[in-house]
Amino acid sequence: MKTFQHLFCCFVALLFLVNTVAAQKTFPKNGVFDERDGHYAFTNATIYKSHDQVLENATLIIRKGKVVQVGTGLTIPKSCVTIDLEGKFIYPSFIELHSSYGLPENKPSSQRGRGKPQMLSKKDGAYSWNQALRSEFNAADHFKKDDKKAKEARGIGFGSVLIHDINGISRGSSALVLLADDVEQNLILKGPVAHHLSFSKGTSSQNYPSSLMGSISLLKQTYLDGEWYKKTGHKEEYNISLAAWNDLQALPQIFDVNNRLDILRAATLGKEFGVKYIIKGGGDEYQRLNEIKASGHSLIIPINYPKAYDLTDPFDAQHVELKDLKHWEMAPSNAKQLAGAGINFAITSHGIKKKADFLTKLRKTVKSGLSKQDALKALTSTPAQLIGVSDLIGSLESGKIANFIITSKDIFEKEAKIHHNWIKGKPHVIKGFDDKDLSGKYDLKVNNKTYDLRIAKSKMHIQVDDTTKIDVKSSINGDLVSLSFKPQKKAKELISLSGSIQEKNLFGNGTLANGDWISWSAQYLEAIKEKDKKKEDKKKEEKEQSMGQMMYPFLAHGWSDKPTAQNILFKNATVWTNESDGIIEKGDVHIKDGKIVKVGQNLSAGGATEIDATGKHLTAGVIDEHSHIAISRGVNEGTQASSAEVSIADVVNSEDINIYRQLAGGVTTSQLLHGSANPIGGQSALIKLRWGFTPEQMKFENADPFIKFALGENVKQSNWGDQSRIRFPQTRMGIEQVFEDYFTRAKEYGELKSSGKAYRPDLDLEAVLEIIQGKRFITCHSYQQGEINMLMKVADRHGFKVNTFTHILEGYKVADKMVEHGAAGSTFSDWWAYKFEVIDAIPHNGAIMHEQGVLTAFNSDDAEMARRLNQEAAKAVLYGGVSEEDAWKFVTLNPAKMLHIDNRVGSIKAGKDADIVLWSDNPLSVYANAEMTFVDGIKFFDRNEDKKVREEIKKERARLIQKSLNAKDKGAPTQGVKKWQRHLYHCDDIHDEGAH
Amino acid sequence: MRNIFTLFLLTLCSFSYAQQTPAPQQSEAIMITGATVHIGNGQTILSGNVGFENGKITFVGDGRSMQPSDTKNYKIIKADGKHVYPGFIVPSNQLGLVEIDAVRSTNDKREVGNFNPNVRSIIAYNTDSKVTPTIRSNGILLAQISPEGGRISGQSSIVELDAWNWEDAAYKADDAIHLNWPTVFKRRWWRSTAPAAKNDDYDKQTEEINSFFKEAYAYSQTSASVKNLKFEAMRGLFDGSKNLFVHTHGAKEITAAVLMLKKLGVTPVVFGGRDSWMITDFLKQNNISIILRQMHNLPRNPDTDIDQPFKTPAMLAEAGVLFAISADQDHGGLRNLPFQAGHAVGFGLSKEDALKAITSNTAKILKIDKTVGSLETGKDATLFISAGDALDMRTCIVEQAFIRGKEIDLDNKQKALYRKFSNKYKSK
Repeated sequence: MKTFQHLFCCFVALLFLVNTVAAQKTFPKNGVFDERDGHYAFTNATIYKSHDQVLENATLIIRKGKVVQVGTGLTIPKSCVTIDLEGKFIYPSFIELHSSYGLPENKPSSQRGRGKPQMLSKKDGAYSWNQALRSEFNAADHFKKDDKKAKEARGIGFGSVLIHDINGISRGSSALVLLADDVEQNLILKGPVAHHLSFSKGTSSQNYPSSLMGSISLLKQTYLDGEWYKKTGHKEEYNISLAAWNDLQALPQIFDVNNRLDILRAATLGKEFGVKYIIKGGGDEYQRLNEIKASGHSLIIPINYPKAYDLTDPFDAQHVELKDLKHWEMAPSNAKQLAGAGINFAITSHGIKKKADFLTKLRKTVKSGLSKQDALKALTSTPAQLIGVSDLIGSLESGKIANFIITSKDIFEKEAKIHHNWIKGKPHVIKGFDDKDLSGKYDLKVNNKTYDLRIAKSKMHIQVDDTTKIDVKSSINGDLVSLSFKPQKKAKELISLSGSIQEKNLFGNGTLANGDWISWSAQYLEAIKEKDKKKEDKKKEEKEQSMGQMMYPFLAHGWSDKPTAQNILFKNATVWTNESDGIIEKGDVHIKDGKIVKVGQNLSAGGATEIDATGKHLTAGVIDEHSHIAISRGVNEGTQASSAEVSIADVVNSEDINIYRQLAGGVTTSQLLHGSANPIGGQSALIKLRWGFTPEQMKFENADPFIKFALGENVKQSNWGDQSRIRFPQTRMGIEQVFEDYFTRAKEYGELKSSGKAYRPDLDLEAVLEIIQGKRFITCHSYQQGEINMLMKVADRHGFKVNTFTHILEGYKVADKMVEHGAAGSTFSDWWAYKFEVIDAIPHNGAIMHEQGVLTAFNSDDAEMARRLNQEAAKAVLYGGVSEEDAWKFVTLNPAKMLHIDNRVGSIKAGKDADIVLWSDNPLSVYANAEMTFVDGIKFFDRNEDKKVREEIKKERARLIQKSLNAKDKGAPTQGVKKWQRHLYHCDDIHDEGAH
Repeated sequence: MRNIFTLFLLTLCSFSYAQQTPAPQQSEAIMITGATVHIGNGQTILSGNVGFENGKITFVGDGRSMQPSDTKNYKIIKADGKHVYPGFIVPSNQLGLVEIDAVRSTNDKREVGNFNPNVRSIIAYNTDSKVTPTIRSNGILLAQISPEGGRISGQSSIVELDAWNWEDAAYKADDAIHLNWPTVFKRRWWRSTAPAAKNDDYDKQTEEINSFFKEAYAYSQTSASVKNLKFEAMRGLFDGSKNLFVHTHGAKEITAAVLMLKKLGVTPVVFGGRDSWMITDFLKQNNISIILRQMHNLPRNPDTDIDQPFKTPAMLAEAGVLFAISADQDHGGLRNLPFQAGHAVGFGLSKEDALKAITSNTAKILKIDKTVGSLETGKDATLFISAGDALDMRTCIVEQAFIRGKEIDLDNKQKALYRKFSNKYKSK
């Protein structure tokens, strides 16, 4: 039998050569016809017919590249070549869904972010205006097999792969190809299989979109454009990309993202346009498992787990963040958790740098709790089902393509080898059947001397005593073996032997250093005993398997138990009501079920927890009218004069530590604004600082929608360098014309829309139209009086009000005009001298505006400053002598009014949301600290509890650092410490959402 | 053309608003009476009197024990219920080197080149900056003006914030050389969202410093026939006449900098010092003082205690490390220095220790404590009267300020604009 297998290998190799270029039907034939049946029977194997159907001692019969029959007790036709696979395993081969195998490589655009702005696509032809929309790309058109990569993928069990160009926002269609060595005509199993999308613009050198929210908007607009093109658009323009986009909609839609929040974003987008995506995630899905489960999308997940960190230098170890340590520990359990939650998912090998590591990672996944059955499912039947090719591949049922692997044992077991990878009925040898396992102890007899030869994993050495080893160089080739070694540790001469393997023993001849020709033998004695230490290691390892707790968000200071609304009675506080009651000394406030129930003195509330607030101050939570925290990947889509279509609401980042830090400064609500890089910026998001909740859950319910406008130097790109001299506008004169133009066009757009005629929905103009209609409100970044006045006049002409001027450092010069127009002013307390347009900024600005009757607020525009807006409010007392009570309203009630949420927040009044802060002192004092901060009656910050949190962080870090050190000690590969820089967004920051 | 335009606008502005004229010499002896006197060394005197003549303090003590005859030669300033403080000192900043950050022509902060110890900030210090009067009206009366950028940015000078010209302003010229220590981790492009790896050039960069200092030292031991301006400038470091400020934040960087510089015979002042709280024993052993510029920076990373920057001063005080606080803002925000010190009080630092961190400790570290930094007889009468607690923005109302006895003009451009537009609305 063994001999047969040996011969078989040669046969396979031969067959392989002959058959490769033989079968292309449409090609002319140079030579003699040589069509073969490829009729094989594989007998006595353990066969996984599918992930959940396993047959022992079974037979697989294939013919002409297809499965004929699988079962036990089958009659084997005489025309079959029979291969006895006793003790071996057969699995359907794996299917890769995320790959660019065989497609041209993409080079990142070197120009992007530098040089002159590129407003339109550089792709020649009747394609999309945007270079990142490449729906017309059809992978099959560009596929060229790559023997080296195919061999790599076959070596780890893959038989077919769905290929697409990993480049752009719409990446066009994919093709399903076999990993065999054949002509392309035979390798492509199926033409356009799926439409691939992402948020990343890839190699596009065009500026738009520069932010994540821009990518999202571009997709939204493209869904609308597709519909429009189908109905009437095709009569107006010939657009290859849009036509292709429409064609692709009938296919499965695969969305490539990098992390858990992007999964939720893709899901939200899909919901809006009625698309259920298959989402390729980043492997951190366990961190937002419930929400991802609820979204109902199927996933493709990577298993490229992070390496342990090298933390031998405690200084460096300081820079490793808890989230990364925990992810290192928890990532291998991601698949298990997804399976546990009942989420349908496939596994991809994408992201694993050395493909050979794939099986190790896969086994790690199984060791971390994913059942073998689920693991196999994620590599075979699920991917086939997801892309609608279950009739072709994914299991070994009659009629399906004969794609399968033969392994030495259960593939999920350590050291299981893949012998063969059969693709469409043709074999590819990975590791021959006849590779011997010679592990064991031997008596090696050479020239009357006996050596203690040990063989482990085909490496040999001679054990001299407990501590001394002599290396033996060896090679095993089929039944032949050769070895050479020095008889003593320090000897110079070598003994060279060669021989053959017979049963478990080795025999042969060789030469000594003196040239004598001798015989030798090595008698197998016993297996090498595993030392007890290994068992100990195993126990220890099992112990280490126990992991720390989840945290929400997945960041230090995240909570593990979801906080809930409390029933609390604050007693004897100085209560800053911001209402007609003013400041109540010795006041009581009762909060329950998220609301303020009662405000007064000598209150009692049965069942409420009493907090003695004697000597302390209780206020409404701070509201930051101008914030850029909690935003993912880009605060500006400043590539065009208007980006009214983009929305911060699409990119709220619930996992920003600044949320927690600002809760510690008493902030409870923040308006997250688009930046100020263009006259008409993007739509804003209003959030409550519900730490640990999801982006959707953080949003202020039913709040009026706002949009950011901007004036002055940022908009004119005055300080952007000499390259930025192209985009209109470059002067204040031009800024006025941008507004005039947009409002005029939006009005016309509105008329067209309501006329019942066909029109192209335009998200940019929709948002501007909402302003005219009084459904959307402006917060306008502004400095100098001239342009402030200008915008109010533009608004007057178009019949709406500018809701808020933000920054508004020269508001004091036009306070009377602002009052007349009805605009509010949200300013900085004392910033100036950073650019020319703030040369006349004065810290008394707030005081004058307030005095003149402008609704006035102080904002932060800065993640750090927002932690101490209470101190900023106090500067209105210092500069301009505003009363303390009124100054306090600058950061609470007044911004609430500007944001139209004063019916819910901004003061302490029965019926309002329990968004309140307990301060150690007068909140305007530099010495005051927020001790507790509540949002909706939920205590999200408590200074005393924060001390406990610190201890927990310290403990958890210490545990994980120890675990990393142990891992390194045991030889695990490690990665160097990297330091995250969190860029804090300000108004004029341009991000570039490029290829990842 | 644009430069001319900017110049024109600036000129226009300077005509539109009141100029603060530098004060004349103190002509008569002055006694401030009945105030809470904050000495600046940790002590306070309730109902205290402070007398000064010819620019020097002649009396500090309890006013209640004084007889009318003791004060008869003084002009009396009654300050009952008010507070007297030594003038605040703001170390290492670019006041007067830049007017408007975004306008290049107004920016003289950074010279080209990596090792520029010979570059002197004092000659570029603009005594007519419109920003300066807004700073001193919050009690900041002295500043150390330093260039920035490069490995060695150049030399700072300590100036009084009331002067006709830079010569006039110089309180201690060329007092320190400023060295920017390399960082262990790479600095990524600010738009980058990827984490920063180790700085592969770190060792090379520190070695450059090492050899520069070694050569400078060797040079300082001779009178060179061929003058090297860079090494000439370094001489003061080796004879102790100049301070070395090493600008760095990380614990590892601070440790490495101190160890290397000490070997080179220089005891540096650490400026920045974000992580100094982690290595207080080391700092004490090596007699290193710290100037914190981190009060209003965010904590290092999400794992760090959320209030770490606020409590670092208290931790240094507790450990007995000599430290001062610098304003963690650009020139326009330097006026917040007292509030940044005050902010540390809510996190465990005593009020008088917070005051020391912007007065006497700063003077000690800058080596000007013989003449300023506290209210003691014989020292400069550089001080001010505030209606209330000057470390709290609610009450920091500076009513009168004196630099070496000269009563300075506390008006500024911003106050003038405030009056101008308040009047506009009043007259309406």
